[in-house]
Amino acid sequence: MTKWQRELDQLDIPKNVHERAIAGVKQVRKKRRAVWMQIVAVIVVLCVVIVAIKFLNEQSVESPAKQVTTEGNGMIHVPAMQIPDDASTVDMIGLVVYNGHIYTQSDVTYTGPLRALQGEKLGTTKNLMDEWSSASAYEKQFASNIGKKSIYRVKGYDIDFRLMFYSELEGKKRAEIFERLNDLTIATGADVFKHFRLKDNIVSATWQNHVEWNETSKTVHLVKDVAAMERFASALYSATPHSRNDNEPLAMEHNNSTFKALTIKLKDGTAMTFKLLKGGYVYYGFTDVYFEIDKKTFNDIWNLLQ
Amino acid sequence: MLEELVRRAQNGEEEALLQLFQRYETRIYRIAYVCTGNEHDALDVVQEAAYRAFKNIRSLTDPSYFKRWLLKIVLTTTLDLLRKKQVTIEFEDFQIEETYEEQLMLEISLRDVMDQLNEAEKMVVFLKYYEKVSLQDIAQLLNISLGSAKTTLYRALTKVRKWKDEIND
Repeated sequence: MTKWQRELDQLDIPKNVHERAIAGVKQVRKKRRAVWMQIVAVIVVLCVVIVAIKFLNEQSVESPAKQVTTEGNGMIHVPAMQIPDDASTVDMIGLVVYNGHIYTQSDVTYTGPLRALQGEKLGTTKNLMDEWSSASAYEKQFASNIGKKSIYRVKGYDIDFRLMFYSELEGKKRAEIFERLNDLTIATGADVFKHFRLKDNIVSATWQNHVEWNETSKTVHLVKDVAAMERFASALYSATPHSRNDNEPLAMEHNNSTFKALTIKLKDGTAMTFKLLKGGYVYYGFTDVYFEIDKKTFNDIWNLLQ
Repeated sequence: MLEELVRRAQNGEEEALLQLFQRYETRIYRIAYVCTGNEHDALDVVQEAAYRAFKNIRSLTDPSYFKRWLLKIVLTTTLDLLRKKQVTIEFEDFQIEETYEEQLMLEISLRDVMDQLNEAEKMVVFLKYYEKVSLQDIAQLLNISLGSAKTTLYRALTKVRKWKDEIND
């Protein structure tokens, strides 16, 4: 144990810590009581509002939903990424605005020749955003929080889905790929994964168990049956989307028997990492959706990753 | 026992939640103290975390994950409080190949950690070296990318090294 850890263990704990915890728990009851009292008042107001909405609805355009919604037919709608006025409550990941869409950093790596993937130059980003920016800063073309970068189309990929730029790490240039995984309606996995161009393009795959992935170990295991990856890609296309929530599979604790990270490499040098969770669940990238694939295919793939 | 307490808390028993919370409240206070830097704010975090835990206990489906679930609440509460006070929490976004100088962490005092590091760095250092949480789990708990977690830790260690070098000079 280090010096500062020992000092932290010896830190004087105020005598009223438990009293503050009690106060916190009691707050729930107080707030619930207050809520009930407000409900009565709200019901009255609601009646008036309903009449008003019915009237206004005929005259106004419906505003877009701001949260992921599941429609009656099982389709998931991931709304356009929107930044609230108080952007300080938003977890910041790398993002770029292009043609009214927000593209975020992706789980794609690229190992091929840099120029091979680079399409035409689209413009240069403006470093307009940080955690304290107002929502309006996010509406500007090429607004970003990645500094000033030249943005390019990614050769072979839909411009509405992928963009790229170059970053430099220890004097070495590398391609960074950003993806738009919002403002989508997803009926099946194909609505997302078709953009990856997985089918008939897979050249290799590797996997890591939970410990290796968790420790960002360099150890990876080769998947010998590449044909099985084609079956995995097909299963992804027909996967069922689910909206992420507090009780989603990824929120639970995982170990080697419940979690594997599968990286699929394509002919063009791009590689994508999918998180596979026992039970048939697949996660990809920074989005509010995860997928459930056909159990038999999932189990076959899972058994290969041993 | 744990399962029974969680079930009771989920049925609305304040006492059950408090018994669960009490097991971790000194640890909660410590992380809040390190990140906020003062007793007053740390106690506010304890109170708010207890409030959020009781309010949301029904969302915990597996009682064995209570500790991790509570830790996430505490971190979110701490971040919210810091942001409310307009403290910039900056988890950098891009990954750096790291050679961590973990030996350094053996030589510094708690006061050094609190004075030299910013809030984001203190949080990652605390989780990594005190709570022994892996970088992947830190990224998940703080809802940031793995690259950001690594970079923040790397930056913290670099800062400590530079500061030690200056002192030794």
